[in-house]
Amino acid sequence: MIMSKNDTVDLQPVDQEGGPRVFELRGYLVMLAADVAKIFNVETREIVQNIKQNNEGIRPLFPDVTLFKSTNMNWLI
Amino acid sequence: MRSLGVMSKPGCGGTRALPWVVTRKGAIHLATIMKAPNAMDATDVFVDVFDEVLDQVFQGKKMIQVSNPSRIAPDEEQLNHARKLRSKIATAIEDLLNTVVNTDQNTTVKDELGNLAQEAVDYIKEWLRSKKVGNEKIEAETYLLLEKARDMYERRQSELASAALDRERKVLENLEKKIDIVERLLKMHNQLQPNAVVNMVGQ
Repeated sequence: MIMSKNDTVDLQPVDQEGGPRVFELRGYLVMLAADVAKIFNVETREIVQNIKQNNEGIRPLFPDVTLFKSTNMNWLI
Repeated sequence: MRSLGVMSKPGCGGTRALPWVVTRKGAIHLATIMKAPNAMDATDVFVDVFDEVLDQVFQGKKMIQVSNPSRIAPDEEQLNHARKLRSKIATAIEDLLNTVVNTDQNTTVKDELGNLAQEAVDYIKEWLRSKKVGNEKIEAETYLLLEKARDMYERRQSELASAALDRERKVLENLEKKIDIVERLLKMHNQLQPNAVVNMVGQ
């Protein structure tokens, strides 16, 4: 599920207590790739590269990966 | 942000990339294709659990059992053990910080490291209060503190090389031992934690 760039979403953190932030987005629980990268102990770009490389062709591996634009970007970055 | 050498900021033009988000399934997929040691360990857990579950499903069992659930989520005993270790770490760090390193001026490690030490102590107190087993920020902070302490130890030792003061030497040996203790405790604590990736996926 890749959203259009003009689609704006408000993100509310589900989990308040420290640790990686989990958000609810259109019924999915999601995490920012940057937070995932920290846990894997790699750079964020590696995560995005892996997603992109494995999401091509007739059998994309990541139907669950979402690209979104948040209305509260300032808070997120 | 996506640009070569320069970074765009709002109001100044340029292209800005949207952040990616990953769902739980996406994170599991990622773990299976990535080569980071962390990710590979997590994949081991996923495969082992799947293997066990598969067997039981084919045997027609209604209730599925996982033989080693503490690999997925820490059990009560593990949490208690981790809590005890954390308080030990806090005491060891306190002890380390209060070591007198300069007997002439009577300054402690805490005085030498200043703000950094205070921040680390604050973080560790926070860690003791939190319910979660792991907290990367605090661990990073503690390792930084240890690194600085080791730096200081090496600097002092080279300073002492010329003026051989037995008393100071003993103090420094003590300091090294204390650093070692904290390091060992942290290692033990880390081994107790389930894999960070598995933990993340489980939440």
